[in-house]
Amino acid sequence: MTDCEHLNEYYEAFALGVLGDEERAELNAHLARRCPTCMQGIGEARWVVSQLAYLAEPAAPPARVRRQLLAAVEKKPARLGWFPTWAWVGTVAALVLFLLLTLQHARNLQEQTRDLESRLKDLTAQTETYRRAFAIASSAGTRSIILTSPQPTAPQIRAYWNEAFGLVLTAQKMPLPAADRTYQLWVVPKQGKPISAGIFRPDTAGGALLISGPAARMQEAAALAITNEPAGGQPQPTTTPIWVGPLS
Amino acid sequence: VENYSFEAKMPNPEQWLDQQRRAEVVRKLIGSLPKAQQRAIELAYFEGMTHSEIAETMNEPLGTVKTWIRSSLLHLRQQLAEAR
Repeated sequence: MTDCEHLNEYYEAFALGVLGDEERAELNAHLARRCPTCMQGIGEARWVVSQLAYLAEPAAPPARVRRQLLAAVEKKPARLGWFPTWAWVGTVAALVLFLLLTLQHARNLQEQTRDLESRLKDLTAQTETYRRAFAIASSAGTRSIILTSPQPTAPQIRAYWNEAFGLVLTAQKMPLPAADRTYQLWVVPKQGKPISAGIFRPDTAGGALLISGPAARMQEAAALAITNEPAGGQPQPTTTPIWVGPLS
Repeated sequence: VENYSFEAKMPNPEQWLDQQRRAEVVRKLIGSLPKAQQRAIELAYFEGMTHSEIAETMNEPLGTVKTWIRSSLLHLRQQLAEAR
């Protein structure tokens, strides 16, 4: 039996850090010889062990933390009591300047607070969107549809459609349409004209997330398609679809 | 506070969904293990105990603890590979 055949029993325990000193030393000595088989095995085991982090319950920060954070940025550094009495006359000008700076500082902090609150609101809305997307993607009866393009550089796009909860489309690395154009998602029925399922623009990194409640039944749909349309979308496609995903 | 800056980024939607699916696989699989095996994994991962320490804490044979942990992780690897 070679070292590797014997040592591969240790990969998971090594990655998890549960090996005793002797076994760990044996494997470390072997890894020091840069054994490719064991290094790959340990790498895979480490990835599996890293997934155990999902066992930790997700925790929302308590409201108290938010209050304390906001209170901290609103606090005004206005402690002047340490000034010695003999310095009053000589420091009047400095004091006026200090007060002006403090007022300016307080204004800046108030702006930062407003900015923080606005970002928090955006993040809360975004989190809610993601939760909804996940609910659609992971519900019973949801179909996964891959939309592909004949253009070799265009990425694959994935959609999840649940008759009861709606349709969610996720994409990465999509090319940005021109400023006056938008992407439009269509449900192509087996019979009749395409039905719009929403318009969307990817973010600057090409990521896109569209949640839609298409006015079409999944059983009557033949495919999903994405076209490039003038901003605001069109009642019917005016260009050839760039991505198509059949439902059959 | 002077140099205060704040940046929060949400993950890419596709990555986020992928993470959620993996989290579900991990929680379901570990949750479906017998309680003693779950405890062994928790003691190893969250408490940083070795095989011997876990065996002593749980009053179980060392070989049993080793088998529990290895088989659980191999099973998890297989399930995660299938979920990809």
